Amino acid sequence: MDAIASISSKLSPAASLACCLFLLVCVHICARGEELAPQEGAPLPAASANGAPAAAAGEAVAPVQPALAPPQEAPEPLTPPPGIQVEEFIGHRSVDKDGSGWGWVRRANESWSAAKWVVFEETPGGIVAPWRLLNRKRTADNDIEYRLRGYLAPFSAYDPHTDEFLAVFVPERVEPIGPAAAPPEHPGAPPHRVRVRDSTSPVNVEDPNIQAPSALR
Amino acid sequence: MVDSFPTVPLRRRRSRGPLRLGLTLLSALVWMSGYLPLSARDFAQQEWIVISGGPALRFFEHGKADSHDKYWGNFIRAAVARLEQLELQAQGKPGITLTWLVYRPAYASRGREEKLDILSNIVSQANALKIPLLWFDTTEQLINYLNGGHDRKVMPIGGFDYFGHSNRACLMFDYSNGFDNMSKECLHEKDLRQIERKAFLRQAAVKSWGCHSGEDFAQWWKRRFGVPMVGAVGRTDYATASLPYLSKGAKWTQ
Repeated sequence: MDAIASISSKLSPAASLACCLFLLVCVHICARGEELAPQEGAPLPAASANGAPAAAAGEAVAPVQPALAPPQEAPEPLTPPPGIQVEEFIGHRSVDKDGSGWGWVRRANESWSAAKWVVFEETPGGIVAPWRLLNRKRTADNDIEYRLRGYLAPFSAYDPHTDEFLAVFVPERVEPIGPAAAPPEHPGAPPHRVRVRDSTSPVNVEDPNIQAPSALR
Repeated sequence: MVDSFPTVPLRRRRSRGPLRLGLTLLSALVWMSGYLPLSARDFAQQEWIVISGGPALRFFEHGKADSHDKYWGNFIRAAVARLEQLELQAQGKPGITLTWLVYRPAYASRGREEKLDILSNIVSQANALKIPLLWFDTTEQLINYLNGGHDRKVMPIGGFDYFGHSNRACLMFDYSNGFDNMSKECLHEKDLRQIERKAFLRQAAVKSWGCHSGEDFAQWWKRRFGVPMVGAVGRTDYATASLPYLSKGAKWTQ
């Protein structure tokens, strides 16, 4: 205050008045700021996932659980190609920002090291990727684990964004287990730009097997 | 004498050189003029193939920022426009066979989705053009047809036009139809080796009207068949009711 007084004594009366007004405004703003700012150390109220009122102060707040998609079942049992059986699997959904793979799938009796990165076969009107049943964002069920029944298809699907052929999982039943950490062996989607080996399937030249429409037969 | 000896043949060589060159050129022209009609007769036995890949399902594409195939018939309408062009070109060349190959499963599923009889619609368009329409359900069937649909020693493929989804490495007959953003039935550049090298005429006119084919696929095609493929560097647009055009910044290459 002595410093302010010494400065004001050196200024003209008009300048002193302006300085005083400026100081008053500053002090007022600081006081308002203290009223509005939350008390240091007090946590912000947690917003619940479904918009319900937050827990009262002092109550133990449980970690927010992500919404889970409802279980799904195919309208009819699958009939896989000869030599392939419908089996139980565990699936770990892992969002791939570059490609269209769904996640890692392993047989129920196998370890994650044997898991395959797969595409999830969807059927409009039947079983669809669980994220479609949430908020329609692909990331909605990232790191959710599922109990699956189905089979690995004998064909692959081509992902044009990564130029890769991926294994296909055909689901018969999908049942969410809950959130889970990514398997240590597969912390995320596999690295891309790895081309599959050349197809060696023989081509039957003798039987074109193309059906002409009846109108032209 | 010794000095004069080389001058004589040299002079004679100089004087006959242009004559020989002229005769050579003349004979070449005569040979070519005779060759072209012969070739044309040979080319009379050839097949011009137009392929239509399938549309995406709205189930997969609805709501996407870059939503594909709002109209199911993009690749049909464009193929019909091309077939009409080819019909005109084939007039007066009775040996030329025009064939339209269409990937059926994608149109069947899109028809179910839209509750439309799309397959009958396509058949009607083929009948109106009086052009044989062949369905294919798998890439293997398509390859089989290219290899053995006709005896390729007698009737090689002289024209090949593809309308459908594609990227730089692959022609996709069912993009976002069976699998979201993906394709089950496609012709990857690495699968070109399954098509007989001699299925195509050396002078065949080959063009992919899909996106990005000129960036990589066309080079693989040229290496495999020795026949250039015209393809787009960049994207093509099927918004018009006719042949697709290049999107902004794109260009054709081969």
